Amino acid sequence: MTCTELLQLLDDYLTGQLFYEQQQLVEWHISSCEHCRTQVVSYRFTIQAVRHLPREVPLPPHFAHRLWQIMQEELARPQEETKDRYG
Amino acid sequence: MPADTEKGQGEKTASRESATRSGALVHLRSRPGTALAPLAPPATTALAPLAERPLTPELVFREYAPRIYALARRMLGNDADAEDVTQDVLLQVVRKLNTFRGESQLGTWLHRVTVNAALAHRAKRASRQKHETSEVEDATFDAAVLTSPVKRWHASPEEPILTAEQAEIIEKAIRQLPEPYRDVYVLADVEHLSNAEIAERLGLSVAAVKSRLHRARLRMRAALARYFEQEAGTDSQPLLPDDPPDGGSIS
Repeated sequence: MTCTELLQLLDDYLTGQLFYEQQQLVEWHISSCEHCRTQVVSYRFTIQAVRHLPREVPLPPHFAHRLWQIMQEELARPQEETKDRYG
Repeated sequence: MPADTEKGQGEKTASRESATRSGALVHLRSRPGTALAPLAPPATTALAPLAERPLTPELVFREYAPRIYALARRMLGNDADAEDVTQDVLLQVVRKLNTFRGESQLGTWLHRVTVNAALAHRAKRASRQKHETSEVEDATFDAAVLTSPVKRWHASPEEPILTAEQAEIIEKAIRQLPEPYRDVYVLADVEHLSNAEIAERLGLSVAAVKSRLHRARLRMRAALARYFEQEAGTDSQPLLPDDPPDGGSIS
C-alpha cells in the first residue's frame, strides 16, 4: 500500500468500515511509515476536536434584542397562510 | 406542515456501532502501538430536544435561536449573514408554530430549514464562485499533503478539551474552508449528520459527500497543524508518545 492509497482509505479506516484485509494493509503501512502515522493520528485528532465545539453560539446582545422585537411584531400581526420558503 | 423526514437519522451511528462490534475493531484495539481505535460515535443529531415541552415563541427564541445562529454562522462564515438567516428562520417558525405536533418535529424541521436558508442566502449573495475550489487547486493540495513534512502534534489524545483559544482557531479554520467543502464539513463533523442525510440536504451524491468531507478534513488538519504542531517541552502531551521526532519518507 502506498501513502496515496492509504490517504484514500483514511475515513473508512477511522470509522472501522474497512474489510479486514484492507485494515491489515493500512496498519502495516502505518507501522512502517512515520509520515502516514503522524498524518493519521493528527487527522483523527482533528475530527475529535471539532466534535467538541459548542453546538450553540450565544446571540450577540444587539441582535438578540432586535430579533425578539421582530418576533413580537410578527406575533402581533394577523395570521396568514404562509408557504415554506426553505423547508 | 413541512414534509419532515427522520430517515437516515441513525445511519451513521448505527454503522459505527455495527463496526464497533466487528472482530476487526477488536483486532484494532489489541495493537495499540500501531493501530488506532475507531472514532467513537458523536453525540446525537443537532437540535434534538431534551424533552417535549409546550412550543412557545419564548422557548424557540431561548433554546433554538443559538443553535440556528451557530449553524448559520459556521456555514456562511460571518456574523451578519448568520443574523439574517437566523431572523428569517425564526420568523418562519413563529408564523407556523401552532402547526408543529411537538418539539422533536420542530427540531428536525428547524435544522433542515436553517441549512436551506443558509444555502439560499449564499446563492442570493452570489459568493459561491469567489470561493469555489478548482480541480487544479485540489490536486496541488493533495500533492502537498503527501510530500509536506509532518511533525507530531501535542494535544490531549482521546478526548480533547478545547481552550477558548483553540476553539477559535478551529472556528477560523472552518471559516476558511472553500464553501462546498465547508457545507459538508459542518454538517458532518459539527452537526453529526450521516453522509446520506447530508447528500439529501445538499442535493449531492453520497460519493460526492464522502469526497468533499475527506478533502475538508485534510484541509482542516493542515490548517490546525500550524497550531498543534508544537515543539516538545510544552505542557501538553504528544498524541503518540512513542513517535520518533521526525516525519518519515513517502512511498
